[in-house]
Amino acid sequence: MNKKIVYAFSLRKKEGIFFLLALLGIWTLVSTRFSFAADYLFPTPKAVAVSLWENLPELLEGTLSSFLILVPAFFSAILVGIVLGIIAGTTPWVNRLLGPFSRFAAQIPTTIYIPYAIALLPGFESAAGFVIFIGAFWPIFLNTTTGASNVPAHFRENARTLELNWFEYRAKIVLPSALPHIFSGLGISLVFSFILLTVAELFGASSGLGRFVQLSADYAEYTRMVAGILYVGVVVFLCSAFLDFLKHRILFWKKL
Amino acid sequence: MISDETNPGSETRISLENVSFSYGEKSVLRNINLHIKNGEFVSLLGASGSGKTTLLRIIAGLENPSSGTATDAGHAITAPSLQRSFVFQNYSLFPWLSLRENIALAIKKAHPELKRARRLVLARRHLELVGLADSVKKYPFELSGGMQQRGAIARALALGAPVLLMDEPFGALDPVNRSRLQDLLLSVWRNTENQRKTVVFVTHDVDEAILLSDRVVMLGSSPAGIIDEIQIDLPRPRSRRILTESNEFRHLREHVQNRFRTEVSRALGGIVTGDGDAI
Repeated sequence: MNKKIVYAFSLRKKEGIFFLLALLGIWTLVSTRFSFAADYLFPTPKAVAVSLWENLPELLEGTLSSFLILVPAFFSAILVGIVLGIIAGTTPWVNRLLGPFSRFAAQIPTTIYIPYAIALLPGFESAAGFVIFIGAFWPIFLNTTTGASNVPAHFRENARTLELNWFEYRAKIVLPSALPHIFSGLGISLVFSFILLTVAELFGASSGLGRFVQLSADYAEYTRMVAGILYVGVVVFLCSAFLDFLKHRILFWKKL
Repeated sequence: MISDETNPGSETRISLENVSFSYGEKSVLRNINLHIKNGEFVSLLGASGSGKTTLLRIIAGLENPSSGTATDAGHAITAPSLQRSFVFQNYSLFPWLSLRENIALAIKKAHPELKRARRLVLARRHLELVGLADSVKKYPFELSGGMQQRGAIARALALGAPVLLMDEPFGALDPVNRSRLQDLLLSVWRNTENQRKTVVFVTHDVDEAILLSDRVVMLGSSPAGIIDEIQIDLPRPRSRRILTESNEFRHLREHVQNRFRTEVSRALGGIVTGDGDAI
């Protein structure tokens, strides 16, 4: 899944760039020649670009405010997800203990928690952070568990002949062996985190990227809104591309 | 005609008594009795499915016998131990560690008291010993199969275990690399300081078994068990070229092959086929 998401953004192929240019052309054509929608609802690419430029300082500020919520939540989800995933994946009784609960809890669409989290937790930031943590946690935890419980037999036996202790085995064998699965989870979690962040910001933020878009809608400034949506797309794209870069760097020993 | 130099000690190192092993209903090994002396080089020779790898895994402690006992220096073998290093056919090196890091990890386990810098120096030295001085920082995926197995031998030596267990370590190599590594193995085995290692070597290659070993243990299939053992008294150091042209070698090879041919026809109820397997 991660691979698909990442490769969907890949700009390496000529065909992909051609398609993007074609889309831009169609957009220009439709928005200038056939005004079937009101102009203010369906702005031209040029108007959007101008708006994007004008609103850039505010968008950057919004990015900072969003990232202050997203980054701590996402990274603590990575840490907790990987540690618990490795323990669950290598300890059968822990896996049996958590299995039914995680199969149930992971299925609940995390967006549904947002109003409750806002009511329950003090302040919007902690509520949004909590929701992002939950949403990012499950894909990482479940993928790590899968990776950790499927360490190939030859690595397990090799580790046994070296008499590696509990910690060494998990840190030096299970973790690297599970990394391909972990990166799959990370890719899904990253996209989830942005969805949850922007949705949460539509509910109750005073700043941030989702708030920027919501505010534009409130004032019926659709050019500004489209600019905001495109900007969010670029930010998510860059984060995914960075994750992909990290994955190839860290998994260099595996033919990807 | 064993020269003093190669004469293994008289003390028994590995001992298998009435060892049987089955996977569920399927009997893999039946009533194996085998005693391997300190410093002895023993090959387990057999076709695929003869249980030779299972036997080695029991000696390693990776499998426990269904009945009977396996002991190493008098202690029951119940789990793998740093006393017995294992060379796998593949994957003896972890792909996410460089050659040097792989060896250093083994050294860390064998000598926990050494500092990291010292471990890396020792790792390099072991890699030089097997001719990998230029590849210390390379990763397994950057190495050919032959180089990977050199690394595996370096790791086994770095562990410093008195017993070396090898599961068809050269089985996936081309003939040239295979004979180079056989020579390498013999030379490091001969040059072991202090005490010579006890080696148990699994193979389905008759020439390889005769060339390397003090004793060849032949395993037959269905029912799996030892069908014959022959002492290889060829003088050491052994040179492949001289050896393979000698009458003694040809005689031994013929003997082993005949023994297996009889075994195959017996197992098939008297129907004589060509060669059973690789042997």
